[in-house]
Amino acid sequence: MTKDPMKLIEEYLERVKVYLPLASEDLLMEMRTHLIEEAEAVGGGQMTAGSALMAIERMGDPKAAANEYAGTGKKVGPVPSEYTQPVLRILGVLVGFGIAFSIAAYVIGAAILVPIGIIASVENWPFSLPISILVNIIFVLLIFGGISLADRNKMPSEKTLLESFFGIGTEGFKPKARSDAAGELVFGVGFGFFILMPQLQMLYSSAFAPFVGAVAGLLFVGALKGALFLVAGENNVNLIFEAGLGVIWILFSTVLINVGFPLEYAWVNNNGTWSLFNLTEFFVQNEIPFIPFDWIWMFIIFMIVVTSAWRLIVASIKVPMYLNRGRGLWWQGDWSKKSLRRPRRRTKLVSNQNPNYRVYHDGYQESED
Amino acid sequence: MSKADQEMDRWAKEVKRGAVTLAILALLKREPAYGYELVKRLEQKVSFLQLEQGTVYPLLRRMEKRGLLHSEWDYEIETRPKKYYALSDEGRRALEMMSRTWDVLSREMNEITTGVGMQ
Repeated sequence: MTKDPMKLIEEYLERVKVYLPLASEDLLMEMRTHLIEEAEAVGGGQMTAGSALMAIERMGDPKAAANEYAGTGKKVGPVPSEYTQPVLRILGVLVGFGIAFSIAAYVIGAAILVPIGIIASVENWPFSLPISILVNIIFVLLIFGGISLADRNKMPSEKTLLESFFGIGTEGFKPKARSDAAGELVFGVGFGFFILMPQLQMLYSSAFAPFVGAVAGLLFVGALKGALFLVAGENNVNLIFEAGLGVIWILFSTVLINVGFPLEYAWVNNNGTWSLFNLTEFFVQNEIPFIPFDWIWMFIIFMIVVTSAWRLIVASIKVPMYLNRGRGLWWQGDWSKKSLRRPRRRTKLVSNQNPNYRVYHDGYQESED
Repeated sequence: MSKADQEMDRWAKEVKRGAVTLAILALLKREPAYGYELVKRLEQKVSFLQLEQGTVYPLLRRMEKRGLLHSEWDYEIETRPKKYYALSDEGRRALEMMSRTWDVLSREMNEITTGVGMQ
């Protein structure tokens, strides 16, 4: 079956991306243009699946191409130079998630589990952290070795299992998608106003009620952050803003977890009449032994702390990286997309007489507008 | 591979390393070019260099970092944006000095090698 030549090129570049440092979008765009033009040259002016494959073959194995084109590839310890970037990135993701989960577990554990005697204490905190990181690293090395064995018989043009695994590292550091930023904006504004509604104020527990305004305020600030990402994509101001908000949420979570489940009542309708219904009393009166609300609250707080800590870690990696590249604080950044970045700005340097639409031999069509 | 072949390989690599920077600067003085264009021009004009295509891109980036080149993206065709490289003032000055040195070197080397029946 003939494949789209552009799809072949995109698939190849996704594999190359795995081996490149973060923020290598410019390099990938250069490589993409190179492959398209090479494929056209090979195909006598037209790009076909065959000519695209030929161009890809000339560029070579993705990890070798990534190292050649990026001019990187320093060996770190026992890690071969071509694997340095993806291994560091995947370790970064694992360690980052490890830290994020440890912080969240600490917040939850210290605040709820210890007082009610489920666990005696969070074991050896914070010394348990380097041990859990070490265990993660050992797991990574074992997985890395096992997958490498499974990839031995793969053809060079096939995506390897190792590349799929390394892809996790790339995904973990992708910029926020525009749809996610829009979601944060809508959720922040909508939920912020929702929890402030007078009808809802009556449902809150007396312990939670004084904090409703603060929660709503943070939701609105989160909406503002979503708006900034929606308008300007990923840049240092937005990353710092997100990290700062993450810190506030983590600190606030240590308070909220002790406040307990926010709802004491729910509205119920009995024959057309609305009345308040005590949630906990329902479980007590019906002799249901398991009251789930504290567990639900614990899960919500856990997720808030994990995501906030992860954003803080990502920002602490990306902001210095962008500063090192001389990007400053504010610029029109990128959003995460399925395919490679399509440029937004247009800088016209040369005249172009290309037709608006190109149809290739194998039926592939490409707009050039 | 004989020792002479090995020596030739080593020597050629060293000569190419120095020559390719000069070749790129000279080609870019004529007109700005993007990566692929430059790779093709180098292939056509300086067969001796026989550059791997992956060699040119990191070199361009290094030269840009050193202030010899500046670049600008051309998004005329959205599906294939091109990063155009052009000489900076520093690059122009470097090219002048390197060209003069190259002229002297090639003239003197010609004199030396002609005398031993190599030309």
